[in-house]
Amino acid sequence: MAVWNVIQHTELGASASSVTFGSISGSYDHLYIEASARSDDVQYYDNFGIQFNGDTGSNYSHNVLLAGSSSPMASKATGTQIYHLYGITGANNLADTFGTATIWIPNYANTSNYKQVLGQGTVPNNSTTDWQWTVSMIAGLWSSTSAITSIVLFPAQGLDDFVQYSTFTLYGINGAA
Amino acid sequence: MAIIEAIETVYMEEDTASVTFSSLGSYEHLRVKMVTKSRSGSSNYYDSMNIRFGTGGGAVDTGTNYSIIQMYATGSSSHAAGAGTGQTAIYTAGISDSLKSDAIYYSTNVLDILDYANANKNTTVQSRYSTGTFGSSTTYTMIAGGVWDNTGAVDKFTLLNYSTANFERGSEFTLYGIKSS
Repeated sequence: MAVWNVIQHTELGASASSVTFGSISGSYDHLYIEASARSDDVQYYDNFGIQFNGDTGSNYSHNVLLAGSSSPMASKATGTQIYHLYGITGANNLADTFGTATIWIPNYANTSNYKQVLGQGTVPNNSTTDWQWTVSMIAGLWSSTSAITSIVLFPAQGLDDFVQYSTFTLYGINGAA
Repeated sequence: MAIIEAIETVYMEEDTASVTFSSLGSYEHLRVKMVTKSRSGSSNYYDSMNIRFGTGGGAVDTGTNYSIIQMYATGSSSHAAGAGTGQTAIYTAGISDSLKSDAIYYSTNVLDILDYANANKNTTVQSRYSTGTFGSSTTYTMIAGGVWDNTGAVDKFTLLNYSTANFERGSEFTLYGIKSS
């Protein structure tokens, strides 16, 4: 079997409130997501809400390293209902510009361990004004030993929509047989 | 067929000013992995790498159509971030400087270019890198990004040093194509 496999690729033909990767097989070692996304939230940036297996409970925690000005900042949150990864451009951003996000989910099918997430997001813009652009990294934890079988991504800041042409690709990664 | 394919590797047998990839194939995304060093002799011990894009069979765009963002740490406690507009390239990596830094250390950079052929989107990049030097040298660890304000499908791009100095012999660049089906 190939090392990298495309599980699902979605390019939105119209605005959508979320994207779901469902019925994820447990046959891979790791998952990897690449997203190029923009939302219709009337801001300069938005952030991905990420939930697993339909769990909307307070079972997520994360550390974020984030910059939207000359002074980077870090924050930590526990008992949250989602992860936040800043990687989506908003409606006020430069036209036709989409944010970039990459997300690793190692050992997603392991039923002994909680699930970890490592993400990177960039929201470029033709502006140097504070918080009209962002750069970020996130380390997240889902406090569940369940194998991940579905993932939902949505623009969490204003609960608005992803816009047309946003793309989302989920890859399954295999180790050595 | 593999999902990730190596499109081209460029290994510099001699000091060289730039590298251009112009056979990008038909993929969803591109990734470039680089191990590089500059010959700039900068007083800061490092150089920066720029990327410029081209579309429609024309030359790469050298106009002020690029914007950049970055967040970085240097030394043991300093960290900062910033943005720039009206740039003539996207500043996408820091590079060890062979004339100042420890001789055997090259910098490392991974650069993602998502949806590079999508004509409905400006081209954006995301990178993470380290200048990889030590001792008295200034070291940088950074994540960065940028946008080229052009929705044309990218059919070539050029990597060059900000200082316009040569890349040092031994610098290596590999371009990968990533499929979505």
